Amino acid sequence: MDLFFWEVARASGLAAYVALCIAVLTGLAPRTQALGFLATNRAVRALHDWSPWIVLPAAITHIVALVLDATARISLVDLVVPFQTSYGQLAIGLGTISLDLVVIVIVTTWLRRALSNSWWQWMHRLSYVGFVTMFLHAILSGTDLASPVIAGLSWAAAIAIGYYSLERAGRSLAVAKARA
Amino acid sequence: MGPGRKKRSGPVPAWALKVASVVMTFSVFGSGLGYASTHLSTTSAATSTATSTTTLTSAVRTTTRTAVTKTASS
Repeated sequence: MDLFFWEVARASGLAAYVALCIAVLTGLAPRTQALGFLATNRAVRALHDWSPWIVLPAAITHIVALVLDATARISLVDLVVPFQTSYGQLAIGLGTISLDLVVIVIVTTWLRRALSNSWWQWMHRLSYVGFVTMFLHAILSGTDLASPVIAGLSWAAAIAIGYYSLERAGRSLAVAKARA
Repeated sequence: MGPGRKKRSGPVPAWALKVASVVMTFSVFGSGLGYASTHLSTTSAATSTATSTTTLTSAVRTTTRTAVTKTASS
């Protein structure tokens, strides 16, 4: 049975990575026109707002499978507190940080009306850190990234998101300079 | 594209994007499951140091499948 949970954990980890890529890319797209060839900003924004419904199930499947897999030795504390595992502390700890940040971003988005806009924006920017830590978690501990195809697609998605993040940051800086 | 002309956006509606994202996530999950079941014990960078110890780590997997043996005679 452990073997089944291990396989589910690996597959759902990949699915969670893809789901998070979709969430981050659709968040960047309206300002950068990254998906302008595909749909209007309004449609892309609608997908971004809806993306927790693909990120959460994949992430929850990943962590539940790991907790149920006795060989992985992941405790409930490890899901919240990073760097506590008896092996692969950095690699798994980065996954814990990523999970914590994704939960913070999603919860603060659901509570957006109760927060000031600047507070919500700063909380939402944590998603970039969450993506980077998830990517490093995948690179350092992802068993399946030994496959050239999976590694290639993972790197391609990360590079695309990195490129559009920089483009968006550049545009924001230009707007801020123009206002000053 | 001349000055003053707006770049046209793609025609895919929001609901189709949502369906496509679900299909893509499920496809990756399904493909990943297939790959994981056929590649049981690939050691990862994080756990590769742990495999040198005598205790089983998450990178070392056992299987209930019949062992593949070949006896060579001389």
